[in-house]
Amino acid sequence: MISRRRALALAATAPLLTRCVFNRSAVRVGSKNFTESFVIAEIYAQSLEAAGMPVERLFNLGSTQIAMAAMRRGNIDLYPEYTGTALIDVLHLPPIANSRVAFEVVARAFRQRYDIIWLNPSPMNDSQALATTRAVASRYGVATLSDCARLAPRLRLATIQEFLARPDGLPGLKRFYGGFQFREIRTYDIALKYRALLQSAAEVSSAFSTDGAIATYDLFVLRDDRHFWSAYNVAPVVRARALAARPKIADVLNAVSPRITDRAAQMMNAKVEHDQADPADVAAAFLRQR
Amino acid sequence: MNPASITFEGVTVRYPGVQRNAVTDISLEVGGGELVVLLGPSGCGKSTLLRTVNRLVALQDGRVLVDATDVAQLDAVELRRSVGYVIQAVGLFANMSVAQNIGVVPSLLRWSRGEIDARVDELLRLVGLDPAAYRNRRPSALSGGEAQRIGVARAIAARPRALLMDEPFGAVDVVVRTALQRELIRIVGELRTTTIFVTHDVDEAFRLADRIVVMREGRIEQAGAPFDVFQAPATPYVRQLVHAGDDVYRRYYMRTRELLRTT
Amino acid sequence: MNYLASHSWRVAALAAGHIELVAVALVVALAVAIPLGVLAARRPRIAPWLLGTLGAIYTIPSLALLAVFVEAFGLGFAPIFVALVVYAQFMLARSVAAGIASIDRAQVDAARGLGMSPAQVLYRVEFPQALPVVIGGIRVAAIAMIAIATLGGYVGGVGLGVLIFNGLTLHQNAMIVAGSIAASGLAIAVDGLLRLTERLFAN
Repeated sequence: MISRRRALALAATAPLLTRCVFNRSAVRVGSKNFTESFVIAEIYAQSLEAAGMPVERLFNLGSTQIAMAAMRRGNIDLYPEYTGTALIDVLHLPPIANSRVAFEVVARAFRQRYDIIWLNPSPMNDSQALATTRAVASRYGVATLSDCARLAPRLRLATIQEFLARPDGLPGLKRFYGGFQFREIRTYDIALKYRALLQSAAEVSSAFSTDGAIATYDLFVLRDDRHFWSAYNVAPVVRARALAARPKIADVLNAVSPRITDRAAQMMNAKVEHDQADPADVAAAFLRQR
Repeated sequence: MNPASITFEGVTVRYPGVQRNAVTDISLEVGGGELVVLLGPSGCGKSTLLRTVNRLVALQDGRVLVDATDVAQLDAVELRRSVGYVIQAVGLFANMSVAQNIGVVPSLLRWSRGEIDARVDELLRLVGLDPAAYRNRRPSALSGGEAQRIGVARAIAARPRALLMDEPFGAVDVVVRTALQRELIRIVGELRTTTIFVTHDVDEAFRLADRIVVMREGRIEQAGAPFDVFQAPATPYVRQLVHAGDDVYRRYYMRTRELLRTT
Repeated sequence: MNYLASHSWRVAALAAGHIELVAVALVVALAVAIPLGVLAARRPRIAPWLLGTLGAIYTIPSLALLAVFVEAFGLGFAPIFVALVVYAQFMLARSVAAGIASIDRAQVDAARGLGMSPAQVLYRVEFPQALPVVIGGIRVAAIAMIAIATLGGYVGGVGLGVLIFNGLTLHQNAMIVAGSIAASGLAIAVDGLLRLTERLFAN
């Protein structure tokens, strides 16, 4: 009776032990808590798996703060980050519109300060934007951010809380362009924001330039004519130690990053948000294309 | 087999949190295959005294010797394996068969499988039960009398040289009790095991005892052969307890005692 | 339902991870709870304090406790595993204590008197008879753990909770429903299995 129980306990804890051993060698890929982060993290994860590495997914971590905390404590090895986000939210530096310069600044700072390496960025630039329906754009004659700054007192803004708080959100726009005194500002859940536009409860919405809704609803993105907004190119950020242990990570991810363009991102986001596709499936389909 | 001797020297026991002693300054010698009965009302300390022998109860003062060795010097667990113990509720282990119950102490002592099996059959026959019929039965399928017989078998399985019995026949009906008493006299006589038997039943004491020890409120009122106690009670309490001087009782005790000792 | 059909491999893999998490946590939880339960049974005076403390821990909202463990152990398997072990203590220790206490004292007295060491009394007499009650406690604990383990999806990608929390973030009801159905199905299956085991051991 005793030895039988002991054998059972051993058999049951064997998976735990193998898991501990297995975990040591898996590459831990994280993601933040929005669609695009899931999709790109899946692209990274599946690319690494295709190259023969064991991958553990720790997605849906939350905000940038949480993801960075996880990186610095060694809970994850890499995740997709945006140059603009790193610049403004992590390093607390002013925005840089030039993609290449932004990348060099964050890459150097992260290596020095956090021992984190930026691999090659993608062409995709998920910067912030203001969007309208084509109907609103033609009715009010608004095509650029300067137009919007001037015409704001006649327009209602639908946005998310973060946009009102972050320095490169509305506060920054006001300071840089002047104006932007909207007639009404309402905050929404990130998923419901566009509905306000479509139902004519608002004229302008804050947006990200790779939002799926832009493709799905054929929305119009206002041009940043004075180049206020930062570049927001996505790239894998990897813990230096993890990269040193597995240098092949750089080769694999650098090979796939050039393929992630604005258009590709919008389409993938649209499939997940609008068609309710699983990010893993969307990423797989993307990788299968040539 | 060499029967054990048990000696109580000035034994005093007090349970924690209780004012009065359970047992006070008891000195008594039991030896050589005797069957000694501790007789008295509930609360007189007889069970307590019994349980000092196998160290289920701790002493306040005095000592208990088994074969001239102070039990406090011995390892308690080993001591208990060499002294048989039977209780009124029997306490057969519900998760074991009859055979496994009887074989408990031998298995604790690491007897071989074959030795244990043989001994179990031998003991079942000794207590008057058919081995084939009872070996694999579960305790829940036994009558009170059967259970108590098996309790006795379990207690003597490892051939202990002393046997402690705490009102073992109190829970069975009169007919069964008489049969069990007869069996006990036979077994103890055959095996010559020194036995201490606790009861509050005067009849039972007179039937079984080589010596009776009358106890009250933690002390010994009188110790002696049954008829000595009957003829010459030491205190008014003893006199009233055993109906000393009453001829009807005298003849009754003599008769039942005789009957139990004949086949 | 559709998601379950079209992504059956994914759901199965996550379900396997869920089972693994709960099974391992259950084994470790038992290893901790059995001594605690025995202690509670042996010392009736400590028992209310011991079981009361475990009960109080059980009422702490799981997410709060989980946050503490993420601080201590990081993300992934570890924090949810520790949380499950801690939460299970109340139900398991209590059933061990109840099982042992339900055995009639005469058997324990006889066992000691015949010369079993305290450990032998436990292994040979008390545990075998406490088993049906303990398995009942395991059943209740396992069901609760399957539910709590869904939080593993929140702190690092373990188990069916991944479907639920990803579904919440991505606003995909199909995922949420699939994860919930799978978790419930798992709970029902485990409940049935353990009831059968309970019945087997009661005989």
